[in-house]
Amino acid sequence: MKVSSQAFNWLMQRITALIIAAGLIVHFVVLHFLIERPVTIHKVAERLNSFGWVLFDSILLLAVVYHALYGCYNIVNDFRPSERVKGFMVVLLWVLGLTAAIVGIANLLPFTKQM
Amino acid sequence: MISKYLYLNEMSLNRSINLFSFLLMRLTGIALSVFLFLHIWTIGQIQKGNDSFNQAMSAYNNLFGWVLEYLLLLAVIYHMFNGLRLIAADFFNLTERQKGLLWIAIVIIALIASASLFVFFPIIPRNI
Repeated sequence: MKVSSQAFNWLMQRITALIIAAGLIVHFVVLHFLIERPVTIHKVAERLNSFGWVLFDSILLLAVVYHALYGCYNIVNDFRPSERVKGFMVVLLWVLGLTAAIVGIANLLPFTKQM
Repeated sequence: MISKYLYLNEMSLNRSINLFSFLLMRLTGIALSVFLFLHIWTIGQIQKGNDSFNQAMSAYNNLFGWVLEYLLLLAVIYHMFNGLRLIAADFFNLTERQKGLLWIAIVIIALIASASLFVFFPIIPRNI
């Protein structure tokens, strides 16, 4: 059970990496190369008026949150922590991850109501 | 005590570009994770109103903000292309060619980093 969970997380780390690589290229091109600075509410709202962009940003956010927090867990594991520290890390990362995902998606919603 | 700190042991015993790339992958990973929460907090200014959001965005539209954004880009492209190298090695049985792949990644990173200077620093004329 433990091994299969580790294998699942290993694979998910690679799958989310590929989603993020593709998503970040689009994110950077749209927000840094195509939009003139400074980024304003109207420029963002114009884009997020489309359901497709909201879905894109939400998927990118969830992939980044998973990838970042599981990555942090791996870094802590390199230092061979005790089972107690590992348990604490799992709880802490779940709380941080859920908070980031909920707050992040909630932050997208006001933009959709602007247009 | 020292044996707990594997990085330090490895650093002193096996100094190589592969170890350096591994360490930089960890460091950029931590920096980008911290940035993720800062980014969510900045975008969250929209919850306080349109003006707060515009103000938060304008706060980064100066030389300090451009430098931070450029450092972010460097961390992202390093983490991304080194990560893609590792995935390629994992899935396409290219472990023996890892060092060559690392140099390819470094060249791509250098090209993107150079080209992006003109985008991230509007004060640099684009027709140099």
